[in-house]
Amino acid sequence: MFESIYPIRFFLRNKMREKRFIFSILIIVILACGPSAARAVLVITAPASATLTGKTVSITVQTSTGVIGDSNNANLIGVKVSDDGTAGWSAVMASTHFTTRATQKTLAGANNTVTFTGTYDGLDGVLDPNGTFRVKITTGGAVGTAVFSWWDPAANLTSNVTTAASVVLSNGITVNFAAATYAVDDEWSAGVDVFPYTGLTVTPSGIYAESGSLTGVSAGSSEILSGTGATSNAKTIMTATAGNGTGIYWQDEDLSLSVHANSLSGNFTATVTLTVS
Amino acid sequence: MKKILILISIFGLIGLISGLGIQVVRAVSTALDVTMTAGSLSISNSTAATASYTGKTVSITEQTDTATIGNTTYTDTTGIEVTDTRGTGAGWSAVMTVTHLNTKATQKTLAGSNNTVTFTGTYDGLDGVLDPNGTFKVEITTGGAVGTAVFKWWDPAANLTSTVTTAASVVLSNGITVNFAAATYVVADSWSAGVDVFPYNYSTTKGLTATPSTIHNASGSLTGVTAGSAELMTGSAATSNAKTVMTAAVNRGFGDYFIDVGLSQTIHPNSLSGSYTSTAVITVS
Repeated sequence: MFESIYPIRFFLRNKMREKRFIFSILIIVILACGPSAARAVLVITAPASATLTGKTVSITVQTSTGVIGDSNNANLIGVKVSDDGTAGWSAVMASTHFTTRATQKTLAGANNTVTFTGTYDGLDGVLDPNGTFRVKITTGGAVGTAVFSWWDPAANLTSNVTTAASVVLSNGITVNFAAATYAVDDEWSAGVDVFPYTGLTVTPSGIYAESGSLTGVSAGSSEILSGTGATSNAKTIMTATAGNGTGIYWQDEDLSLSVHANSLSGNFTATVTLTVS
Repeated sequence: MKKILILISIFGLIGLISGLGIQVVRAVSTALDVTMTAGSLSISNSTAATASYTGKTVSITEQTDTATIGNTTYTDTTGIEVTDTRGTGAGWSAVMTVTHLNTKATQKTLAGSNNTVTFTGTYDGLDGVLDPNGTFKVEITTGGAVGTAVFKWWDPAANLTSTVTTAASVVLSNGITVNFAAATYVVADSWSAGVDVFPYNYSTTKGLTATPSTIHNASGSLTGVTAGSAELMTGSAATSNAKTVMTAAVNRGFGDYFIDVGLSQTIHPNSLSGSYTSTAVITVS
């Protein structure tokens, strides 16, 4: 079996213990791979949060702006890519929609014991009227006995759902029934609203090289995010061509978000994921 | 030994990958947020601060006059405007009240030579709806200067109030004041001012009918936003009961909405000539 593996046969022939044999192999591998692995560290970091300028709800479209980082494009704040290798790299970002969920409204009945939770990830509500999740009791009783119908923001009806402490509706939203005796026609709603990423323009700033050369390292172009899913397509913010980009590079991402008219008031949130590879 | 070979292969592959410079994808997240501050719920009549009826000639028969708060184009930004930028979906209701259309004729000197008495104010009563038109009448009962002279007066229903000392201004009733300019007043000097009214509640079937138009959404959706019905104004006071003009259901009515209100007023026969005025108050909540 080991005829073709002369080193192994050598060790075996010298009656080396099996554990020592394995340990030796591992040492050989680590010694062989260690130096090259150390050269290939590629890391991205980014500020944990960024707040766009607040707006007052308006009957006209508005634009809110913000920046991942700051407006000083020559400091150690913003998105950071560090690379010890020479293979080149590409940093991209994707964003979810900015969404909010209004607090529950009791439309009928005396039970104020239903809440809605979760982060809405749909698109209904972009156009007026803002989307609404609506829940209505169709069979009375305690939680687990009472039955309800519900409508999503597109007015799609789902019937005959048994109440429970938590029932997942759709698009990230869950309805929660606290202990109570529910009566037929008890009804609640929660509005949802969204500023879609298709209205989010990302403008990568100039790149600041904390170390390394800027040769072959370039910023992405100013673009509106695109896509059709809950998360946008990836948008390039910074790249380094092969043989370049060895060092530490900083960049700020300017954001400009279209805020539709007649939105819900409240806090809209989104998540940006920045990836380097 | 097979296991040993597998382990060796795995570590070898890792070494190969590292040696070739193949790198692991790395990702981080940034939380974004934008806060939308609630605006307000407001109502405006800036494009319809006044509305004039077409005007009629005094007649011996009952007539109907019409007007529009706004205009007859229901798809423009003229009329009553409700704007909701609260962003709460609380819904809203716009209602209107109205006073009677009324007029006050200029003073007539019934006796004496002093033309120094005037009547001011806006009549808010109902007397004068039926013939004869109502009249405020003032008569001097003790002569002298203003402050000395004493008078009595009758309201349009012929109720008498006696022994009132003259003054620059003396409030009578139903919004009417009599004003005595400096003069020497003589016993039996007498003046009058006619008043007339086209009430919003002329009868159970006549008076002022308010007809909200269709709604124009300058911004926002019409879903859940509805116009009130055509109705005869009701009430028994100087100001009518509230009549619904436009409503938005809960979770609806975000935006900017315009509505015109058509008015149809019964004009009783044999009225005073002149300009009749009333005030419509439109509120949203």
